[in-house]
Amino acid sequence: MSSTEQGTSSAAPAEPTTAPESAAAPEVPESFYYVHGKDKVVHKVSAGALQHSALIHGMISNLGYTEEQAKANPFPFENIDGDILQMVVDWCNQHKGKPTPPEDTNLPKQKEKLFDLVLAVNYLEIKELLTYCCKQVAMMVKGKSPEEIREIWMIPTDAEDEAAEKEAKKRAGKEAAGETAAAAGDAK
Amino acid sequence: MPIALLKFPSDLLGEVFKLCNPLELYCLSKCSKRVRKSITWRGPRNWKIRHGKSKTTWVRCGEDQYVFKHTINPDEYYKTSLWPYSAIFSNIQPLSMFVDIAERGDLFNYLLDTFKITIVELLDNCDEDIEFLRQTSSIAIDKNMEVEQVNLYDLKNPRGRDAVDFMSVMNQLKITQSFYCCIEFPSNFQHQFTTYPNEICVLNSTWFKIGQLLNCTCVKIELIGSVLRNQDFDVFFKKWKKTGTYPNLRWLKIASKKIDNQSTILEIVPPITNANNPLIEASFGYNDSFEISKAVRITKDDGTEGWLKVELGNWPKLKFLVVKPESVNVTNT
Repeated sequence: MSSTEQGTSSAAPAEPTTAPESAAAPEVPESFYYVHGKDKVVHKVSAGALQHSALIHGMISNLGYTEEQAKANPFPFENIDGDILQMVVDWCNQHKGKPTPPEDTNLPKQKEKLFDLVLAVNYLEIKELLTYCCKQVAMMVKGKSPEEIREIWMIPTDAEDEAAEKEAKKRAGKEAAGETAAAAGDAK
Repeated sequence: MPIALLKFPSDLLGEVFKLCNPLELYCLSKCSKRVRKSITWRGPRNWKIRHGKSKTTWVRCGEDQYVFKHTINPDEYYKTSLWPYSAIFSNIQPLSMFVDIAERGDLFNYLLDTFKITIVELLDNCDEDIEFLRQTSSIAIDKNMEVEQVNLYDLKNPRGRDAVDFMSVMNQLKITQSFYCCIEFPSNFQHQFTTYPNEICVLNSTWFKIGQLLNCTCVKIELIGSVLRNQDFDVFFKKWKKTGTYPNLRWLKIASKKIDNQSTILEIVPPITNANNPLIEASFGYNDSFEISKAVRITKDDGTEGWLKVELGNWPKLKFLVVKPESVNVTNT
């Protein structure tokens, strides 16, 4: 598994990404955990930053890792693309220990990544970021007609839905027939 | 950059829908049957619906209101703009959107079904279209909806014939807040309420007889152009004095030409007034405040106080305010 600095992938093992620290050093040493996405790039994130994620926070509470154990066992999120996880980690670091303001200028802006970002944030249970992302999604169709909404949100027409449903039924029928034939063959 | 919304998990889809206003959800529901079903499936919303002037339909979501305007011009469909005036009881200009006029009759039903709205904020005939009012009332009855307010304005047709027919429909409505009626019904018109809302205000109230008043469970009753007499009021107040009667009643105002000084009300010959008594002010209901001065105190058997004032003259009237200590100001005048 490779580690990176600020999420840039690297072949050689390196120190994992460290969260940008605030100017005043914390009095008590902070504990850090490690996460990686589909690209296996490991991100070092403080427990404070990870508190935003109810999922990771729950995992940390249950595991009771030491720093060494945490380093050796990064939390794997194989269903999240590396760049998306990087965005999420950056956001968590920027909002460590403070609530998100209603209009957050530090939030990810990449529209083309929004779909994956929403799914990742939903999976990681980061409530505030999820609300913002959903707001971004909802904003996409402000003042739009049904026709425009259908395009923006890739909504199939009734005819397309019906065709897809027929196709799915047909496929299911074929699969069922195949299974029956295979079972009959086994019986022989 | 498009985004495949329907591939979102169901709870996430719900989060996005929650951030859409009724106009946006309406447009979204028009995208496909599947999307509409998905919106409807999210369950009842605490929204209210009403009709407005100029063939508009209003949806209220808490403080915010949204207007569906009807048009025959397809180029205008789904165009949004700010409504030129603030909404009732609000400083906020509602957002409005044009929809197909052909849908007007269906729109009410469509919005109820799609958004699972269970409360009608107001039914009225402000467009002089009592047939449309009848249709929407029938929908509200069929769906067992709560109707907060019904306003019936006077109709131009002779003696409110259509309104007479409507009253039997109206009696099946679940009206909770108020009923306002200024229709001049034919002289032989009779009507018996099955249930009463909190408030009732009837102009041209010749049809509202003592039997109705004796059974009325309203908090506030105002009858203008009444034909109730001293004897009726005597019966009414004798009943009021008994413990347990009219537990809701706070305000009664009746203007009746039949009030006179020929007989007594609670053994007092009108006018009933006492110049030495203070100004009593009370507030209750929806920001309503009521006052009565120089009135006579009458006391219920359970100790509850009411203040009664009966004035004669060209427009004889009776006012009665029931005092609840928590909502009353007393000022010596």
